[in-house]
Amino acid sequence: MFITDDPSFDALYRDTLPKVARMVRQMGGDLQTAKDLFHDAVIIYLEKKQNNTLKIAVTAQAYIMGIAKILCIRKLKADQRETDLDTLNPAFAVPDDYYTPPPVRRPVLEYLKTAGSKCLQLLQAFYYDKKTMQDIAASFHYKTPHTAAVQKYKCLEKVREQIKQTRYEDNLV
Amino acid sequence: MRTTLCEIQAIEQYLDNTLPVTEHLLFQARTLAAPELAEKVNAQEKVLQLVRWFSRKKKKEKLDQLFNQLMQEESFHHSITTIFT
Repeated sequence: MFITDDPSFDALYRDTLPKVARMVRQMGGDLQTAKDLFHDAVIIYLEKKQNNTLKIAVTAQAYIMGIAKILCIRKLKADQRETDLDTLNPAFAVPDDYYTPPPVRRPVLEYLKTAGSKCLQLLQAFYYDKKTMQDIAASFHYKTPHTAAVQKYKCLEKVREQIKQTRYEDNLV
Repeated sequence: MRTTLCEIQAIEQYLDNTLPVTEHLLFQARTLAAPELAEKVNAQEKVLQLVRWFSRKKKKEKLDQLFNQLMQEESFHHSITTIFT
């Protein structure tokens, strides 16, 4: 299953989930909560690894557990002042917008899922997966990286106009 | 590239903080003087937030699929469920 290019990911997942599950259990959480928090921690870890912003020399497992612990405390502990010093380490910071809802209304989301899906994939490849224009040109079948870059800007324009249009219609209501 | 696309590129560099300091400040001043440019910057920032939101959602769906797949394995299923019994 393609989640990351790293072939050791499967082993990391298998080894770390039970450890996170035990920690969540100790804090009073159930299996569903453990699974969700673990997945959030994995995504945050993968993003930081991708962006070279891990800023700490620990194993992937230790990092994921550190993030999962912070997420768990936020979710399950009524008194969040119980956070220990480890979890205050800025290297384990959770992205500000991680749990915020999408910044647009439903019509834009629907548009992106349907008419704009190819654009969305292109923008994801560049801005989220940090693929090079060379790779993007190859996987999206553009003749040159320059063509792919121009297409990326066209996509940005298309989605941006959709957002502006929806906002305009909202103001009319 | 046509003018609009060049402007989108400039906004991208502004949001990325990859413009030289003087150009960044100049661009910032332009956004203060031109509300329509400020609106474009704001909308473009929202596009990037939206891309992150969709990407995370997609990644989470794939992780859920992996979880469901592993839970089909008896030993993995046992090792996880016994923690909660």
